[in-house]
Amino acid sequence: MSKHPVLRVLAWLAVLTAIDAITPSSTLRAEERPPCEGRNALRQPFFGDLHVHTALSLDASTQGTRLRPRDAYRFARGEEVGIQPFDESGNALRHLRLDRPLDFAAVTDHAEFFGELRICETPGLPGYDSPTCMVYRRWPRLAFFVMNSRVAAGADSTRFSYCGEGARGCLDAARAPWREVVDAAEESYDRTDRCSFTSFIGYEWTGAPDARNLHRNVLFAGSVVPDLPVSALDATIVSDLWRELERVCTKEKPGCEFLAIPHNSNLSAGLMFADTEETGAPFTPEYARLRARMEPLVELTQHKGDSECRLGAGTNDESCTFELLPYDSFAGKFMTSAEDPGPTSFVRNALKDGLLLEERLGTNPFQLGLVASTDTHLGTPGQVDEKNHPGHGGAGRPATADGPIELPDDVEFNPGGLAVLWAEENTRESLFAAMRRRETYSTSGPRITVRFFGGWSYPADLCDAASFDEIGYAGGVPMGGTLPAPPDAAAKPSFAVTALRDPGVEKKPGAPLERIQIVKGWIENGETREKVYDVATAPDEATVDEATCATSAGGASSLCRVWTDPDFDLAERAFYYARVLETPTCRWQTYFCNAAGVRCDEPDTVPPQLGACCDEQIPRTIRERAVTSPIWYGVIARGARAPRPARQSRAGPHSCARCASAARFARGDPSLHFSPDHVARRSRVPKIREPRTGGRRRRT
Amino acid sequence: MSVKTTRRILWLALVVVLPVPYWVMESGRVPSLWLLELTGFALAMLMTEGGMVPQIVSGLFAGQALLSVGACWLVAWLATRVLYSAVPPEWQKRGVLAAVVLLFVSSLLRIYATPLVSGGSPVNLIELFA
Repeated sequence: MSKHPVLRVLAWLAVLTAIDAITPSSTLRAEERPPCEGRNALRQPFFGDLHVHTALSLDASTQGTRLRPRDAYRFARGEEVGIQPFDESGNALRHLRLDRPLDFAAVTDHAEFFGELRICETPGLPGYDSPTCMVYRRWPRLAFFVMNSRVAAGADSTRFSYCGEGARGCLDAARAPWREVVDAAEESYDRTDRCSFTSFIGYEWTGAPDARNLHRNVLFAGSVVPDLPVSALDATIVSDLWRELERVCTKEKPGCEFLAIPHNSNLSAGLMFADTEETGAPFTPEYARLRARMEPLVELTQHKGDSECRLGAGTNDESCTFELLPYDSFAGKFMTSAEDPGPTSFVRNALKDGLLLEERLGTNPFQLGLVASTDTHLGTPGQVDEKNHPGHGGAGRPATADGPIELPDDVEFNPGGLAVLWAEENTRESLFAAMRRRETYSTSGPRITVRFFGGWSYPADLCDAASFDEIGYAGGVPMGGTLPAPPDAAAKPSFAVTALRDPGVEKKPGAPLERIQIVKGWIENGETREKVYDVATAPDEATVDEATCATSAGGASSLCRVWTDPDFDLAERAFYYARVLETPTCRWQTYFCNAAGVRCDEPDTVPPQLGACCDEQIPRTIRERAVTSPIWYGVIARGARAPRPARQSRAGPHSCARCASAARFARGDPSLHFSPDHVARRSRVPKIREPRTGGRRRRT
Repeated sequence: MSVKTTRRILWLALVVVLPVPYWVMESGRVPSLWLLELTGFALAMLMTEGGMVPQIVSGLFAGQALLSVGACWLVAWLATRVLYSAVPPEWQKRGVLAAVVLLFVSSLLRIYATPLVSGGSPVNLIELFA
């Protein structure tokens, strides 16, 4: 090599460039890219779908889905796609296009049978002529039941014999579909400064012991991903999934980062949020820490029902009747006397139990932020329109080309929801960071915009301030955060919440808002409690006519309130989240049944295949909603020391319980400690480094 | 044509054509032959892969296939009795032939339906086995 310094540098640059060129994309470093033109340091809401299946999933391909990951991303970006059923020439008989493109999406196909399906679909591969593959090709729906049962065996799940010795055949065959998932996400990601769309590489881990759902979507932060996904056939219990992912991603692939999002706790028969692992082993502090690290979010609502809460299962909240399934596990769907889901099937109870578990284990394993998604099995992310629900497949109803008109989905299912992330810009890095810090919320479909802050001293007139969000960040924490230490023992937390209705599109405006509620959960005398506060209500109620789906005037375009918890006790661990309800609108089957001429009070108009239109167990109208991630109070980091309070208690003689708490707090009682991290979080206000251009700041 | 032969011909025709109801996770109406075919594949899958669900599925298919084949035999037995008691001997052969033709012609109508084929839409015999 030349001794001339300039030539030597150039030579090294050439070598480095060559190395970079031959490095596979799965091992690329964190990428450099131009900043987004609409970047907003005070963050903006991005709407997307983090749960999407395509023809690579067994339960999608066996119901006629032909769209593949690239098609799904095209659809998410606003292009039209054709979906099943298809005519004899292969032309799609239904077409869909989103009214508004999504900001981000993740195709999360079931990883379990990537290789198995490829073998069954590719002549010449060993195993193609096995009885299982013959059944798959001839009677796909039967194959779905039989093959899917493999993952219902929990820890005893095994590969098919046609996978060969050590399952090498299926593992090798899985590389091509996984590559397709990765490449589709890479190609669809807008890396220009327009930042119009972000795609995440991901997949679904489909563990379901005894048909009790423990499914997780695994999302990767960037382009660096494992060579193969870790499926429920490789890691049969959840904690094995996390540990194996840490090995093949975090440890073996520098730059690889992931998180897991559980979903459908409503179908877990109480297993998802039980205080034991699925093996029956009690939680340990190590397990709680691992779970808290791996799973910052939970999917609250989707096609197969809502998992927030259920009236009668640990709550008497009358709004907990939204999109509930009448059974508590996948198997329950096929049983005549299925169990109603119990408390540990629902997120609100998990949030409450998490406070208790934290006392016992030192870490809250259920400190969960909230998102929603569709779980579409048609490859159509973000297709949440109640007026045009195509049926999302999966465990639902296959589409038919002929025969009488029938409901496109099982009537208890719904179009699903969207995930909303508050982020500076629409990039993987910014959105993933939002998920990590839980600055997220779920909607049941409408694009309602919600901001929710918690602090100790928000001004009562904050709703009138032009700088609501700036003051919100400066004075406390956003949704997903933990309240900083109180300034004094008499302090009460206040919460600033604002909501804007979904503007919709010209032909389909969104519904107005009815109310904002704050849901509080806390521990009192060692038991969990909850209370729902109506904090802002529209002046006029709106109604909907079930026969025509026409809505009356009423509701509000926006609601806002600064609310202080009147029942706050310094000694009680607690969480608070905001729930925004729209005015009533028709549920999807009501639109469909009305269009089909069904009148339930006139039996002659109800053909047998549309009998579900008049199922009295299924509501004909709904209140669509947005539910924010909680804000926690008193979540203690292990070994943390408390800061001394600035002042002594000012609590009056009327609040003796508070006096005792305040005295303990002042003495530095360990049970009331706040971690330095939480104090630090208070100052974690997004730094305003550039002027607000407003380019991407919508709806505010 | 003997009574036994007539009965066997009718029985075979009914096994191939007569729609019978079945239930395995979901319900449908299909000929016994289709149930037998599925039973065969389900048993092959059970033998190669094992597992509780294949066991249940193949058991349900096998049981219902045998039941429907038996029911077809009963119908064929009854039909033969009626044919040989009510129809003059010179018309019996034609009667059998007519019955078989009628069965197969009706099988060209979309009288079968199963969620396992064409998403549950009504299909005819050819579409069912295609």
